[in-house]
Amino acid sequence: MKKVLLIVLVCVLLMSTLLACGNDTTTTTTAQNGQTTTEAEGEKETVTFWLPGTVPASPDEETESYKNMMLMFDKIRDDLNIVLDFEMITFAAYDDRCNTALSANTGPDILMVNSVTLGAFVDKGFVMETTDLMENSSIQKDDFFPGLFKHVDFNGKVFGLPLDTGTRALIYNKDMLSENGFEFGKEVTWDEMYDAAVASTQDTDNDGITDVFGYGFLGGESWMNLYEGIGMFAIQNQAQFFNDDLTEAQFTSPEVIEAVEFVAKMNEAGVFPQDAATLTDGDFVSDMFVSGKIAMFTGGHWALDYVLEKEPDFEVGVALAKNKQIGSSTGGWCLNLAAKAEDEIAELAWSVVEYVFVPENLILFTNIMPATIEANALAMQDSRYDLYKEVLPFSTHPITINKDLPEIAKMLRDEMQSILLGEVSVEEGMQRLNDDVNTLISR
Amino acid sequence: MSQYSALKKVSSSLKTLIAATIALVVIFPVAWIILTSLKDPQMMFRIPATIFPENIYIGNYFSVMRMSKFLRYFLNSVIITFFASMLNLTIATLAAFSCSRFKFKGKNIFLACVILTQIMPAATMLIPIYKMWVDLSMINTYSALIITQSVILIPLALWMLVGFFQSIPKEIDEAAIIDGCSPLMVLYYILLRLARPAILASAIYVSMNVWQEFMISMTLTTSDSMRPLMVGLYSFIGERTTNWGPLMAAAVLTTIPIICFVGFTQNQFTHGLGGAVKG
Amino acid sequence: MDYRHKLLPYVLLLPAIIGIAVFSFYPFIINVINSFMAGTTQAGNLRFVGFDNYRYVLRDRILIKSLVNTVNWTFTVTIFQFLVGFGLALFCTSKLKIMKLVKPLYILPWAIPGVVATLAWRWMYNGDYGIINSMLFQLGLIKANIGWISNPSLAMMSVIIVGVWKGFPFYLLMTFAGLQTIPGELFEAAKIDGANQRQSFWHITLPQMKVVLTMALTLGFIWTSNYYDGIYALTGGGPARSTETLPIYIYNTAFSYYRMNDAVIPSIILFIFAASLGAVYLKLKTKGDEL
Repeated sequence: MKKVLLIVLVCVLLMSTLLACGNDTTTTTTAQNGQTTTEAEGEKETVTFWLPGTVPASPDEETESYKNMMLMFDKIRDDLNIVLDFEMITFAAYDDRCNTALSANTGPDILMVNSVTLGAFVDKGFVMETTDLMENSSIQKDDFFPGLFKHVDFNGKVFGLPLDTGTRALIYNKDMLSENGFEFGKEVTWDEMYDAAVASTQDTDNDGITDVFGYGFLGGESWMNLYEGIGMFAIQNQAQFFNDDLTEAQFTSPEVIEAVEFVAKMNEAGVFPQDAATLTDGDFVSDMFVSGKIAMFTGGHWALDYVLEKEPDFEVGVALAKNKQIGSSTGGWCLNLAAKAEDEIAELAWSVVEYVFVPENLILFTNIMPATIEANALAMQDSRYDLYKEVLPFSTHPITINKDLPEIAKMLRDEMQSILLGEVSVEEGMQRLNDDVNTLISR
Repeated sequence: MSQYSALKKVSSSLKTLIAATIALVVIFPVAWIILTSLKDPQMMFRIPATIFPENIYIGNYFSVMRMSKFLRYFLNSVIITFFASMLNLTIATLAAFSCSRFKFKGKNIFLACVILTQIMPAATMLIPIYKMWVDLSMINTYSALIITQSVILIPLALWMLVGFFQSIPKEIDEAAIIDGCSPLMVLYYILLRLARPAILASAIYVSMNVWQEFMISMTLTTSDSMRPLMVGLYSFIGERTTNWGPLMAAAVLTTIPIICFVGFTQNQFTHGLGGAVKG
Repeated sequence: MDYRHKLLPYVLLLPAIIGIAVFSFYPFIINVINSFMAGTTQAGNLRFVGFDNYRYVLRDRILIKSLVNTVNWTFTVTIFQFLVGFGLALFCTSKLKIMKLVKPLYILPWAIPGVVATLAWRWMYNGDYGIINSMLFQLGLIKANIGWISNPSLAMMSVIIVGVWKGFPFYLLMTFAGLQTIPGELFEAAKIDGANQRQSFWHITLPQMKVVLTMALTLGFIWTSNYYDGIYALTGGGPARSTETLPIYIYNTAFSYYRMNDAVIPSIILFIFAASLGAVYLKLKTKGDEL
């Protein structure tokens, strides 16, 4: 018996030492008890802000935007007299962390929510309805691009505000195209794109293997497939994946089928690089482009920046693809209040939000295009971004924001893969997808 | 006789060759990780791919080391792994002793439950566990991480230990009891010594699992200063792209401690039962 | 037996029981309860819906596909992991000097953090810039790039290879430790009696190892069937869902689609299935128990 007691004692001692020295004193207090507490620092309220990103490893790795964001946070702390705790969570884990925390009624008061997860968060009651808070606020609906404001408008109820967006355009290798006898204007039709892509796909070293491809398609990842792949083409063909009140899927509509057939046509012509249907690395396509292995691809302005930074030895062009219209998909983040934030904190949190949306601040805070018309006009003055701004009025989110968005995007990706890999025909695939999606949304 | 020794020599050389070849094949991906970590960003995406970097580039390692919290992550990993394994082994050894040497009601049900826990998908268990720690106000503490990680691995350690305990003949127990030992003394003096390879194997396995663990650590920590190394690794995987160079360098750095640990302890495996039976 | 002994086994077992009850069974039961509910407390619409969720999930054609994939994955990977691990363990018992050098190397795949190792493999498998295709090409073995993880017919095999590579050291360690516990005298006695290597193996090694082997394989099967990390990192379950196993299906349902309440349903089915397997195992075990 002595030995048993001894062992138990050791375990207990072990546990108590751990419990005693476990807690790190610099944690945010909000995370511990699920409620915002009044800090001991002279009666100030604490507001917790979660955002995705990586904290720079060391002071010298801080980017301009990070430094500016820190300055903005400091200003908020001073002007509003609050304690602002922010936590930067790595992208890979961001959505999970938010989901876990909010479902346990703990976590942040303000958080960035990606437009694709917003539907689910609204449905689960994680984020707060801000229609009332907006009434006498300094930010109003008209400040935003209509297509973007739709992201946060759920049948008249507003949940948060769209923070930023990104449009995509066609980035192409001017030199390579002119070598093959092509010249793109500001707008490029699908036929022109197709012909140029086919002409650019070559086997330059005559070893029997194509090493230069016409179009860099990324079908592996559901978001890239949606935003830079089929979503783009659907919008350019005035196709709608859903009817207006989201009760019915329309993947078998003629416009959608046309768009998918166009992608399939390019695939069959061999203009996509190997593994395109399962490729998920966006930078890979950009790198191939810079090394002259891909003639063109669809990318956001960040892709353009990436390419130009590498100083390729050819001239880079930007154009807007069109079939029935020019158009682009938009994604983006939104800024939301957590539903659990109580009255006082909610108002303080909203003040923080208003602060973020002051045009100069918004530009500093987002490193893609800000969502308000005013800020957007001020941001990105460089002429290389002109077309990205120009297509914004013709841009929407390919799938209307709803709670099943992530799943639908995945199903779309899977079906596109099946089609491109030759497992099903376009009609069969889209019909199957349509049925599956209808089953999903009619639950 | 000389034919026999010649045959033996050939057999030995052949065995050596096979062993070496297999080793090369097995470690190729590992070697590749190390070599990639030494490549500079330009070299990463070459087509056709090259195995060896043209110039050895240690910039990636600097990127990782300069992560201001790197040492802290390392320390956290060590603390969590050490205490979690200790706790786990204590609980599991006691339980294994109980299951292998006693007959009692409910033993089979208990063992069945232990197997069943391994079927439950870890991902879905996370949220209730998270809620539990929130209610106890112990989120972001070492204790929460240690307890959770060690308990989750109890079935694993238990299973390994029960198996080994059972393979130790009960005659030894009976001999000791005749000599006047209580069951616990039997455990302490005899079984623990004899099963040392098994206990070490379990310790290694448990430690490695804890060291590599990501999901629990990520979910139960809210501040950077409590995070272990694996979570730190994930910061190299960005929204659109992966920062391969530093990621590979970080991978190498996170693996070195494990390799050292295994290297030190693998000698223990060669202790056999022979000596104990004789004595 | 006296009173102390009657209680002792339970006392020794207590921490384990508490741990498992709190950290495994409690969450599972909560999940099961939730599988009969829809909505959330935060949205104020938490409600009981009976078997609705079950009806939806069990009709999903993807579920069947992932079950098939899971069976394929589990059996193939476990068996090969075992064969490679056990084989190498036997190898390592030889007294050759090289074994000391080589054994730590064999354990290496296991020591590398899981997700990083699989990400590295994914890169190696890449059709265009992967090292595997590059080497095969330079050796003249292939003419065109092989889509290791982009071709649905090959993807499962590629994933299995990585699974075997990552996991065989477990069997190596287990069986090696087990081999060490076999008394040397048994082999000497057999040699005196004139047995050759193969006979020693079949009649001494294997029976002595029976306990270790059964345990390792049982655990192995169960863990492999539940394995998620590596496959997800390699292929995400694709292409075209050819590598989507049940754990990935469950994870996606819970965390990618935010359908928490549905997520546990496939695992309940798996649970019942495994519980029956477990019952069979126990029946066999009680028969073999000597105590």
